[in-house]
Amino acid sequence: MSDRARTCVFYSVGRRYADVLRAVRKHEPHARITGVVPHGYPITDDERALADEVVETRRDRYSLRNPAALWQLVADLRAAHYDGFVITFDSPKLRILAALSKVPGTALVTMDGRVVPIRPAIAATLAGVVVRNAWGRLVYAAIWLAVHGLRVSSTPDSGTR
Amino acid sequence: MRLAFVDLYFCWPPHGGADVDLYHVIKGLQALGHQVKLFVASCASTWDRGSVEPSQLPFPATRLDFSPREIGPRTMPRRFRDAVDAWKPEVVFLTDGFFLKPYVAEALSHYPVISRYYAYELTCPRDLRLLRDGARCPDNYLRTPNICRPCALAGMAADIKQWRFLPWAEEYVAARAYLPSYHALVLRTLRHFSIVIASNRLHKRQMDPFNDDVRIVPGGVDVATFVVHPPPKRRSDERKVILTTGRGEDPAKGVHTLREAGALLARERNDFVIRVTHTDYTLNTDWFQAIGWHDRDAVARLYQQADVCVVPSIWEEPFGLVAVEAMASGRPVCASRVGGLQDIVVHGETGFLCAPGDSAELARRLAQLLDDDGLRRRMGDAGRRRAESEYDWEPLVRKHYPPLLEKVAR
Repeated sequence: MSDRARTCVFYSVGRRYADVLRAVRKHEPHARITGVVPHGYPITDDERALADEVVETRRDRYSLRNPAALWQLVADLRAAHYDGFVITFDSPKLRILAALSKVPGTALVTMDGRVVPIRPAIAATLAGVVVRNAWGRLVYAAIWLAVHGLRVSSTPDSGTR
Repeated sequence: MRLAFVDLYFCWPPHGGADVDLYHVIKGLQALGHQVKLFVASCASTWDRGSVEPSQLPFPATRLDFSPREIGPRTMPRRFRDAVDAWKPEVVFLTDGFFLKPYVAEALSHYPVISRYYAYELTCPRDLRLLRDGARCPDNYLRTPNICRPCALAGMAADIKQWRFLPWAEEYVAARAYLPSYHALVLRTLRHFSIVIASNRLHKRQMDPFNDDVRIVPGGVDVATFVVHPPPKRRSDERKVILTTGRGEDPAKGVHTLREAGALLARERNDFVIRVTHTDYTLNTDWFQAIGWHDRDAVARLYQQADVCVVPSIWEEPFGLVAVEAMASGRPVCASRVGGLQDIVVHGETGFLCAPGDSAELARRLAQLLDDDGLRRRMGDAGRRRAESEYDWEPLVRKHYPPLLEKVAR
């Protein structure tokens, strides 16, 4: 077994995976980087060159509608005994997955390519979701009232077709 | 002349066509002897805003760093005005920006301002696509704000309710773009611009009533990056490659039409494979490959491996950069008859134009090209010639931009 720290870089749709791997490689030049990608993911040459190994998950996508599959994913991540777990978006789902995987160090690759440590506590993440949703709905209600209650009075077409 | 370029989103390496356009225009004007400087907003929490290192650009640039709280009409316009005033330009080019752009425009209204629009950001506050139920929306925020305002809110409802933002919705809330007073601000600033640059004829028609000088200036292509390589010599059992680049996941890009066309072709032949820069590889079949995202250099190599390129967009593409790139690479292009694509692809000469969403017509044209090596070569050659004569950056900037400056200087 190698003494190098093992860092899992968890793939998410929406960013160029090679950029994420490159940022992690720069941040942890001596780590053994494992790219964890969905089943069937067509890994590119760039991505393969940036990771020490690439592991596919059992399924190509996961959702809350299939908790058994999700739990299997968590079990697989725990069994791999990674030293670090890197996510590509600061989303509640990924934070909770990171917390459940029980990997000691969790980090986020920010949009500008920095690797920053995060503390993915489940309770705090869920509380944050609740607060944000409550605030968001309040703001939405205020905007809805403004949009539907206040009309643009003088427009070139009087506001209609 | 001293020319200031103010952009709320510029990134380099580029995140989109607007970045590429601005980069080459500034470089081109600098080469013509003008003093240029780019002022760009940056916010570390927003990937698309100012991800750039000014020292690595070939022209002077100042990055104005904003915290998430400062992204709004109170701070941004003031910071831009102070930075631009300190440099004392003669003309300001105001380029990419969403809902905060009118505020910045007003803060810089003591200069002659040339405003560039890259998509329908001024006329479609829902998502700048001017697309509703899969077809072109007949409305236009400038003329029908009381129809467009509820539509925009509906489009952004999920983002706002969850309070998790992409830049478009983030600016919508920050700029209070839902208020009637915002519409007045938009019209006021639009009327005040010295010149407005539109992307295509539809875009110009939308803005014509609100400014006396709306001009169409096309984008260009780097003909040194996108070069002609002879089409791959294929064995008789090797499949020809049909390529689509661009944001394949975006429904407006029409990949579903291309898949339908592919299914029609696959009933009759198996000598082709469709490659799409798309991240949903669960779509993959025997003849369809989602190949993920690629950077610009990798895309240039993809064209070299392709036999035919397709731009199946269903929205009114403001310009159609990928069609020009394919033409510069010497490949025939099948494109939808929409937006700027209609002016780029010469039907029957550099490729074919098809009705948007018409998979049967697209399949017929693709079959025609797959069957005829000579036709592909002729159209590819004609495309390269057209790219060099009409879309090469250096002559393009020389042709279109000095007249703008002459008018402003008068």
